[in-house]
Amino acid sequence: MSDQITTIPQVGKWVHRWAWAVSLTIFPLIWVGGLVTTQDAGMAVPDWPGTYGYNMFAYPVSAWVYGPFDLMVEHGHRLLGSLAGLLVICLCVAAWIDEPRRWVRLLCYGLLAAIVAQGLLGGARVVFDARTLAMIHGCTGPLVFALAASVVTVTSSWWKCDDKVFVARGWFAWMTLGLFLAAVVQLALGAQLRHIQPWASPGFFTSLVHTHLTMALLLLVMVVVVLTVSTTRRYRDLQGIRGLRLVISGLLIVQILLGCGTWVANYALPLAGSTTILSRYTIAIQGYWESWIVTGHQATGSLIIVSALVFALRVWRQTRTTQQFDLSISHQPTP
Amino acid sequence: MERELREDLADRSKEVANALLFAFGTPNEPRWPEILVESEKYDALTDYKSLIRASGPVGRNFDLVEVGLYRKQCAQCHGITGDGFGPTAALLDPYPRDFRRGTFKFKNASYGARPSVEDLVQTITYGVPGTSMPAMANLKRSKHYADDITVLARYVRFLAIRGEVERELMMDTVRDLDENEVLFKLEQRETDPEAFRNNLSRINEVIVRVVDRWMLSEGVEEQHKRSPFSAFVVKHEFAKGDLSSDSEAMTEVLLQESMQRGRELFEGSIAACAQCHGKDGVGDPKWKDYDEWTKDWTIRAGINPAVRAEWKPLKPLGLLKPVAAAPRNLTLQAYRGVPATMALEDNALANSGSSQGKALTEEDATHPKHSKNNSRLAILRAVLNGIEGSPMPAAALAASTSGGLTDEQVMDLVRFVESLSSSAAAVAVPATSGLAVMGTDR
Repeated sequence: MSDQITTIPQVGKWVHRWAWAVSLTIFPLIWVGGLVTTQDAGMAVPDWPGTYGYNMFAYPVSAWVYGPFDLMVEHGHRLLGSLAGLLVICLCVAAWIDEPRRWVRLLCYGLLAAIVAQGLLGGARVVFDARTLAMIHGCTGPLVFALAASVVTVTSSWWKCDDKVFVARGWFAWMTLGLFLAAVVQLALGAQLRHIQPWASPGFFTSLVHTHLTMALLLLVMVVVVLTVSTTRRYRDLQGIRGLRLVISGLLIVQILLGCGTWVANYALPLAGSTTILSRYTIAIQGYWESWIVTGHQATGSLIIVSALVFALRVWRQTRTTQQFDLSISHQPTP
Repeated sequence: MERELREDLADRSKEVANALLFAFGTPNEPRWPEILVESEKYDALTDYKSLIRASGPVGRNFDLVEVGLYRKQCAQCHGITGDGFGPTAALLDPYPRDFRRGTFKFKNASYGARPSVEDLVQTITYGVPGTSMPAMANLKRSKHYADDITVLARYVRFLAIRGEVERELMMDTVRDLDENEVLFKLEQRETDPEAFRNNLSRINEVIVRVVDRWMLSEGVEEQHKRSPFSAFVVKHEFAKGDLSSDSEAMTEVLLQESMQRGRELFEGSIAACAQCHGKDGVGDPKWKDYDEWTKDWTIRAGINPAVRAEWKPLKPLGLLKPVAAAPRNLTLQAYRGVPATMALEDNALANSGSSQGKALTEEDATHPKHSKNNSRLAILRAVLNGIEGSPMPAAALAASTSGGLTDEQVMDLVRFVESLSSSAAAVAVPATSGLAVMGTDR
């Protein structure tokens, strides 16, 4: 394989670094956004883009930090969102200067458009006091995160280097994409549950819960299948996905535990009448651990989406169609 | 069983809905009926600040005041009108409470009386263990949220009053009005003012009737007269709520004797606790009785809740699958409802609702750290007041019924019930307990 190495110019390093910075900012942004939902703090600041009549950036720090917790969380979410937007602008400048691949530059510009749209959506949620917009905002947030993570992936040295084992692209590659889409659907279902309108019928909520649980089971099966197939002889040498298998497995286990914890934190323990401990347990509103668990469930969901997308991208990078293999062979130099 | 829905009731239902809208406003803009606002008698009740803060969508206004508290904390389960039919209702066990009956389980007020705001504050603050009703005590730890619980309690009372008026208007309408008589039509205000005034007067009568029932629970002295538990606590100087403050001791022998007497009462025919809870206190799993909310939909309508085919047609109308109200397993040491004994000694607090903003301190007898004390108070209250809405009756007392329980017998029973859980048996009633001291009085 060594003669197939494509020399990669040492360009685009800054694009990669900025992409990391963006991703590392978006994850806490999503976490704080989740906390906004957990605390029902979406309207804790009644105006937008200002904050209580101030320019968002000029709002007094003391009023923010020592104010009510819901105000602190909502205003913090806005400031963090602004920081993420600023970092994406830096990323785009770096891509414009330093990124030779046009499609990657377009991807960066697309990320900028996405994060601006996400900010506007969050603003519209406030201006129109619309819970439905809040739910959409909650669903698209992880997609923006996934887009940022995909920029990190495609700007990495690993991606740019052709010194890889390539295998034939089969149904497995499509299944990894299916896993990503299933994770997105699952997150959308979770967002519906978290933003349920108080006038929704019990039947609707119950069916949403059952669909969310069924989808969780389906995701579990898909992850088991994808990870099992990825360890078969055909795929086990794919360098790009070895670590990710562990990450996805770990996230899935954590997510299932957090899902159970979320139910308990919100709606009580099952079989409450069976033992002293269970029957004496009382749910706490705005409890410390309760907030961590419920918000963590949502944040881990976004990490699963991102991991599934990166996994899929890496699999697609290392798999080729028969046609691509034929082209590759015809371009090899004659010995 | 073939049943027909009476179509004329659908029209009546619309009239009742319009009357409620006129009198109580909407969930976004609720208001107290004019008849109440006009009278000074109801000044303590018609508190607009709580209405504004609790109603409408969740958020803060430009004065930083948080609004929409009910939707933030309660509506997901209890429903936007307090009908117990919120989105999560079908998945919870027990189902969220429907406020519209005016029936509340955990209160110092006596069986049949409405709870005071302080009673509601207690339930909201400490939650109900083993159920989906959360404790909101955390809110009291921050000055920004300290009065939220009182606001919520007052709004729950508003919804309950509105709901009771709805039920009574519907029942009165069906019972008293002829087919061509009108309950309420807003257009009549212009077209036939005389008829409109007459109709409004009939509606106002119902409103005042309902509200007067609630007003009875707001005067502490009245409550003492009416509630066996409150009277008992005051009589035996438990007003501070701390049952372990007395210095005298009860010896182990006296304690064992007291518990033995309690057992005899528990199993005997006067208290007759074992009939439902079983001799060992674990409850009878085959017990098939239902709470009042379920009976409203089923037994009182001639429907057998145990027969699926009978109740299923009512599901689209809002009936949740009937679940039997099993007697509490007393060995689990999980007693629901923390009595608001602090309020009993502080008339001003309970009368004026001045507990707004009162922070939760460890000195409060009802603070969770006093869990043993709270358990005893909860048992005592359940015995004396019963648990309204559930099949648990109030005990017959010697003071009002011949052959009823004496105060000492009540305490024997409380000690025995407390000893039913193995962990409690080990600690039983501590030697310095005020309850223990009572047993030595004889």
